[in-house]
Amino acid sequence: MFIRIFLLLAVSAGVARAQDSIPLFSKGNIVDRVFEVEEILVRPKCCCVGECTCPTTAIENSVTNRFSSADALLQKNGRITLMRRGNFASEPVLNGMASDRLNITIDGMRVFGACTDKMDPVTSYVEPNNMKSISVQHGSAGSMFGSSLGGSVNMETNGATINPKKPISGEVGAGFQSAALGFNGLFSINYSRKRWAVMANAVYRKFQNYRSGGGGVVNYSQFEKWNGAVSVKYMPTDNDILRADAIFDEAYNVGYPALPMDVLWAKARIFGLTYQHYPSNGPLNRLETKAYGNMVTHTMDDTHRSNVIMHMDMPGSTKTFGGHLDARFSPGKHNITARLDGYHSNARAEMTMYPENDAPMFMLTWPDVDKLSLGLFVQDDIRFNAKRSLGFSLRMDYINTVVIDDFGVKQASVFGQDVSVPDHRWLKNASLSYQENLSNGPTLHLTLGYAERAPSVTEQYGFYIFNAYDGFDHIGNRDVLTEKALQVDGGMRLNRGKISLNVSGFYYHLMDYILAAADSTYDAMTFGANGVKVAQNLNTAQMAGGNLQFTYTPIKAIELSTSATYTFGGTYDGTPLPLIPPFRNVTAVKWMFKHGFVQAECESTAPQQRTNPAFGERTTPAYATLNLRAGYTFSFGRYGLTINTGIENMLDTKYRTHLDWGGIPRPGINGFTNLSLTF
Amino acid sequence: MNFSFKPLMMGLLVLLTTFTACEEDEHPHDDTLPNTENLTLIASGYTNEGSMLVKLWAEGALEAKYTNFFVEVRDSATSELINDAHVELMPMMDMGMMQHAAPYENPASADAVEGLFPCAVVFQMPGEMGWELTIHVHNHHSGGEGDVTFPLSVATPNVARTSVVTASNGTDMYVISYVQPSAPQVGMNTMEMTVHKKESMMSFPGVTDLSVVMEPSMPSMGHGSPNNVNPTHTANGHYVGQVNFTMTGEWLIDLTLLNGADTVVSLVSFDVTL
Repeated sequence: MFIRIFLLLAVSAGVARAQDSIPLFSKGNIVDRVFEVEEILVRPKCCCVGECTCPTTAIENSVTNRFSSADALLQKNGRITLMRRGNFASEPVLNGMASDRLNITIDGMRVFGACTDKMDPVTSYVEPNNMKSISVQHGSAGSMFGSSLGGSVNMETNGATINPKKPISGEVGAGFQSAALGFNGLFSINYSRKRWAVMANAVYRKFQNYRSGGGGVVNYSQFEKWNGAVSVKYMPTDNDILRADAIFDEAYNVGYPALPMDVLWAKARIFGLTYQHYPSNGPLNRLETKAYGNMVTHTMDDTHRSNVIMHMDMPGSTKTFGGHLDARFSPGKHNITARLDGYHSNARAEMTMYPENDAPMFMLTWPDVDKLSLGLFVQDDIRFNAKRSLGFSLRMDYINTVVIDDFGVKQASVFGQDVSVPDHRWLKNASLSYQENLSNGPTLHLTLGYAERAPSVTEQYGFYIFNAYDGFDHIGNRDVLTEKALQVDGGMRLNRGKISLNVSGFYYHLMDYILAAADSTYDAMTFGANGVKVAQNLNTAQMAGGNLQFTYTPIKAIELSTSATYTFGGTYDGTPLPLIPPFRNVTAVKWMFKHGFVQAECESTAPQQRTNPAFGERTTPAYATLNLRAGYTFSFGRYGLTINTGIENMLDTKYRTHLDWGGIPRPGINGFTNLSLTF
Repeated sequence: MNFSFKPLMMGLLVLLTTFTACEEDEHPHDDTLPNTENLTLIASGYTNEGSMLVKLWAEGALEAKYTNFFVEVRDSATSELINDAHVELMPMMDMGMMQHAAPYENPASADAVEGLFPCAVVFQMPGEMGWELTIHVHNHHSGGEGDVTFPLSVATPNVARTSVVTASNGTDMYVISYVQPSAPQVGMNTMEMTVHKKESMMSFPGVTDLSVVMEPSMPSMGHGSPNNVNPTHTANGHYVGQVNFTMTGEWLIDLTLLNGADTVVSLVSFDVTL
């Protein structure tokens, strides 16, 4: 059984075509994109008719993935790196761009973190145990899920599985890891009748402070969380699926060693209702309509810190409601997707400081910002023949933001900004892709794109939000210009015999790049802060990067693989952009046998010398870590027992990556064991 | 019983006429004035001559600060409101051994504003006893003239709102008072202050030719706020500018008074809590 370690390039239109003879609903929610959709599979793809999860095949990586966190899984995509502030909920960075420049969605639903300090990226609210796959699209090619510069990451949840042949299926698992004395427990169960199914799953994690390389304990790195999801699916006819999903996520006492405070609790409530129609004949493949709502709340906590000058409360919340309507049809050689989507989101964050003898000090760091977004997306992939296809996508968004709290309006007036007047923007995204499968093997693909993105709430309306990395208080700028980029993204894939090669690269020319700049006329609010920065546009900047993944399978049981990624970012006068990951390589050798595998992996990065001094960046030395992992599955009839074990950072290297905040070292030597029973 | 409808009918007729007259009159009848709904009656008394009833209204109980007064004058015989009069103040503090006056502002005009004569006194010190305010009224309507003196009780405010300071030259003395914002808010606020110079125990004229440097800050945080506008002189020793507060809490407004490049008063601070 062959499982690619890093990612699986799913050219799913081809898959869909191959399956034309089976009922259409079996396609599930596969992203039907001819071009670069990179999928990280949490559950193995299976080929059975109808929907099923094929629980006993190809589980080794999948099981590990289910014990993992969403952010850690994302890192398996060569072009994603993680920005860490603690041992919990790292922020994914795709093509050198972080969450403000990405669309991160759960089943296409927009969810916004409620923390002004980005302690709670969206990826923290959905667990791999509840995921089917994660799809990653680069630049404007990912604009189906919204306007963005860096691309889209859509986490597809597992959902209930209608499979009357197996009415009850599920999994129970527990894992332990040594560096943080961490416990992971997971559970899922699916109950299916002929026309409906219900699925429930849950994850519980509790981690203590972790040990870094060399043995030092990293204080304030503990966390505890649980996540639960329920999904119901009903098929009134063979051509219709009605689906309701709910996700609950609660984290408590989450330490953030790189930040001056921790999280008391973070809660998300995510609800979605989806209806899909698969016509039996005609060019229309699928109609989907979805309505969703979610609420994220978050409260920071400094009461456990010893050197707190002044206690403060910082609660925040976001509420988002939205929906989409999309249609997919394939007349002739065309494969058209059209989508109308929209959401309304509110973001509010408060800060109250309690000086010992004086009156409490209150401000709105996110001044109750209402955002309305309406978008229209059209995409056509034209398959001229089995080897050649051309695609384009267009997206237009209308964005309206306004501050609705009078207190927030008055606050901003201090900076000469009238934020009571709504800000309107039109965003335009377009991409043109070409893909050709050369006769001697390699598939070449090239995408040209133009992307725009609206400023984030912080960039536009933030009020004295302290950034622990650069040490500045950040003030939004209502009139900051829309950020734009011209993009080239291309590469080749080759699968020939024992060799698999995947090379991709991108070059983004960024215009009106939003970067906060220090304004010395303003006083910092936070104790010890370096000053105040206000969101500004840099005229131009450029980002480029590439990723190479090579797999060699000399004999069926042995797989050698290497992945190398480099990202470059700078202005045209040579100043590096901040928080650009350095060259990174992951090389692994894997021995696979009938029911198990053993893998040795070396992860290394080059030093990052290119730093942005105004951002307070320091250079980061190179590091290398060594990991050893193994897995084995015992089968007892319908039951499968999988053991995964390993040692990460075997040499107990003390290291940090360039994107890690606060110079906090990552975990040292870490032994882990996960046990999973599937039924 | 000798009952007649006649007086009743007369009464009705008068009422009717009154109502009709009211409806036709574009201006409200004098009876609606003055509007003292939001004011506190501080004192009331008759003038020694000139047959007038004088009522002294203020925006609240008296405190040692810049205080707006509203003087209501009525004919003591007819109770008719007098709208045309010359009103002059003389505040006085009797400390036993010595007496001193206070900065004050007479009504700007002999015409009442909606039935009241607005004026102001800066109580530069508190005193449960000792403060007196003499009001001299010259009734332009009747020609009568007289004085009334009210003893006043001036409390210590929760937060100091006036400051008597010795100038940097070591001899001159100034009375500096905070006028507004009276209800400070996060955001932009009009900042108003007064500066009076103590020329003698009895004379405190407004100072009109200074410039003011204002710096708001939060003492518990050590930061200020952006885009403040230094107060500049408007009239009678009043200086008006703009003070910005970025959050609630306790703020300190530091003021430095300059005459050209010379520092006149190096630092006066007022606490503001919002």
